[in-house]
Amino acid sequence: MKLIAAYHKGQEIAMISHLDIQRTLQRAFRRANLPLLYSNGFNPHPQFSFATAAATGMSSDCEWFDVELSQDVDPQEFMQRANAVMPRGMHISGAFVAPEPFGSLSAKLRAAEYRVSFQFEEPVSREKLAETLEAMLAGEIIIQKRTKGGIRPVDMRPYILRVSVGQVEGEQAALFVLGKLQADGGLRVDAFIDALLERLDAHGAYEIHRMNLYFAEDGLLPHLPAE
Amino acid sequence: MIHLYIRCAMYFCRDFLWRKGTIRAENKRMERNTALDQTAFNRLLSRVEKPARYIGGEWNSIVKPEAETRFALLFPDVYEIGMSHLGSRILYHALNSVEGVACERAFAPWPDMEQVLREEHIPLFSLETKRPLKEFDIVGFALLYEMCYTNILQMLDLSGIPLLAKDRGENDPLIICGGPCACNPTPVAAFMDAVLIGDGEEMTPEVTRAVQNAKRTGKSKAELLKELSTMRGVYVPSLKTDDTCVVRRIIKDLDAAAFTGEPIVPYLGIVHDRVALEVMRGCTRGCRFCQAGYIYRPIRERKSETLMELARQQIGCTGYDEVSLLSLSTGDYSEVHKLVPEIIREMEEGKVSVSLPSLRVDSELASDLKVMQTVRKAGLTFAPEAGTQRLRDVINKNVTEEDILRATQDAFSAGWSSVKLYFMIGLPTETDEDILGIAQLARKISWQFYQLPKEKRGKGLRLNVSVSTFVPKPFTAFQWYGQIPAEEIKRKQELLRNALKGIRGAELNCHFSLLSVLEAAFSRGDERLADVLLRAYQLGCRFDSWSEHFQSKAWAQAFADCGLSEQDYAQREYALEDALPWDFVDMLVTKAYLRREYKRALSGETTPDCRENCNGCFGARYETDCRM
Repeated sequence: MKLIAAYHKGQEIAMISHLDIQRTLQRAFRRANLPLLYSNGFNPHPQFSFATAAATGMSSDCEWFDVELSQDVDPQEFMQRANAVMPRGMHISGAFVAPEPFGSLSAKLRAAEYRVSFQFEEPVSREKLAETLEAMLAGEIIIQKRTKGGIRPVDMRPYILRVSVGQVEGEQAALFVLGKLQADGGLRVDAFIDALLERLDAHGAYEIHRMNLYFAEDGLLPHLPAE
Repeated sequence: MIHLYIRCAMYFCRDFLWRKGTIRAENKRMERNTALDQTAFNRLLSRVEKPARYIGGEWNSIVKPEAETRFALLFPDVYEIGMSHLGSRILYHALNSVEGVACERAFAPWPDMEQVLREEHIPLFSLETKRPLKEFDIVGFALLYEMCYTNILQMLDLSGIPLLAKDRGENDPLIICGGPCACNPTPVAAFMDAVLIGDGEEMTPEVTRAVQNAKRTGKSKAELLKELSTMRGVYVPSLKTDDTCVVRRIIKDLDAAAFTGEPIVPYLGIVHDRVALEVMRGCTRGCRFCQAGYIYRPIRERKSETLMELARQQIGCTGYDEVSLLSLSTGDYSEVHKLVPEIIREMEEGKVSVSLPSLRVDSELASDLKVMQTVRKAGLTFAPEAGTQRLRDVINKNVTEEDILRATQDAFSAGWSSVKLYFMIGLPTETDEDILGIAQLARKISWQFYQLPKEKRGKGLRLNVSVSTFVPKPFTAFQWYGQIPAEEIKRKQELLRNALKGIRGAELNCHFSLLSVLEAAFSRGDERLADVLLRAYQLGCRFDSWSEHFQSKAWAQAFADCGLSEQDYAQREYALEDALPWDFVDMLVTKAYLRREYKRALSGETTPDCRENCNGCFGARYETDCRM
């Protein structure tokens, strides 16, 4: 059977890489004695696939993945057993049985929603933040994207679906960003935020937290509300 | 942008990380100081490569917020190397099992992290509670390799702890070390309050309890050191006299000894990322160059039932999918024919593979490739060490060419195509003929492969000839022998390179020669080298075993500034009756025995495996320490 599940990546482990996450999940499931289905071949490995990778430095509430099991396990039981042996900062936040056929999560992925928390060096007003964003979104947002063929400029604007300013207080501010995210490309939030800082002429540090992943509508996975 | 980012991080990290008691009376921020500021910490880590090296919190790591005594277990190399060290994992468990004791880890910060720590004035901290190391009661270093010594200084320096023992006061932690390099503690003695020589699993908790007790009763450091110096295996450099004799500590019953408990499962991929089981300690073969072969005597085993139980327990609590059976020579384990098939069969059920990293060519099991096949089909590794039978007799490596060729023939017929051969150059009595013998052996192996019909052999032969330079080590039969000069190392490497030309599939890998010179200088070094270490550290040397960080010029200058020469140290020939800097350490194998072995070596006489017949290496004094 195939289970679809989401894991939470807390602040404590925000700095680990996607490869580390894969290893960690695999070992946790083995500790939990879950009946993982292994690939054939000389080095059998469990079969996992992720909707998308969680970047080093980013925390998240909703990293969806699928896992093949050799026996039926109730999704609630799956979560309980896995969460009993998860390291600090990580847990399975949801799981359900995939109907057949289900297809791949990465092919269904459409968008992601982020919360960006800023700590500026000097206070930045809500008005300035809003105005700068508005001006940015009115035109192209060119960033330098590293690809196989070298560094090339890419316009991020078409990938941005919505940006809203959250709480602003002194040097701290929050931003909510909804961006396209598909197997063949999507919004690079960090690059967009760097561009924003440049336009703001403000200096500061920020954290990115992924709040939601949205998929093509299938009645099971979260999807974007029709607007 | 980067510059501004740094400024910003400084703002957050002014009161970075800490809790009550770490001073910092910046009143209104006091509450934040009671817990780790995760955001500030992550921002800091976003500036370094592989931040997971510094986060801690791994599965099975032990965090004790309250503890009477804190022991910081330090490994003077990067996380991925240090976490692969089985001995440190054993001590972590043994120390955390002592009531009132918290053992926490720290590894040498990579230069990018060192820079961040310095810029932000953040002292080096433990992974478990992120406490500055200076706040610990004991700081203990694992000494596995001479070329890690500068990292000891880096770690002390980044902790704000005075480097030299004589400059430290009552409030500084007790700085100790242990591990195989501690058998000649003289080069690092000036930095240490105490050096633990021999098996650590009982001695380290004992020393820790003594520290705990001293704290309770308000003993001074001088009183504590005096007490420590009476324990078997503990060397206190500040109390050394002409009569000092430190006798190595040993665990008699390995089967009953502490092991790793529930081992930590790192996030990061580490070098040995699997469950490691120590099958036995010690080796009976008596290879004359091999320090481990002498300093871990006598041979002591764990029972196969104990190992099976450990395998189940450790796989269960870690989720690893590989078990490795460790020892100096697993094929010599008395229950090997029982254990190996049994463990492979049982582990296979849970999709766990088993690896046997040190099987000897001549062991029955190695030729049983059916067993090997169920194990991973990685490359095969053989260590003939020398190119001719004459020289193999000199070093007492009792492996014959027939043994090797039979094993490679079997391997090739079974479809293997990757073979690695380990050799040393610069061994005592070596001539060019011995060097050319390496190439001849490689040629025979290559021919063996290519004369198999195409459909019966693997794709293309990969015959890796790996050559290191002989480093004379204390407490071996070759401790009196000097290393060959650097130019001679190069000449011999070139000779071999040319001789290997045209051999299909063969490729040569030579160990960096300047590093071998320093290794030789420090392994047989003396007290004067402490100054060289200090100077080298000041000149920027650290992570010397990493080629990208090795600074040959700085090292040359450090020796020159101290009026010493690394070449002299490395090449020094001692006479058999000379006093040696490490004579005050008694590693149980007697000097008389080593002399006998030295003489036998020079006359090409081999010494049989001591399981056949006791060779009397412990002399009369410690006879009872050996049960063979």
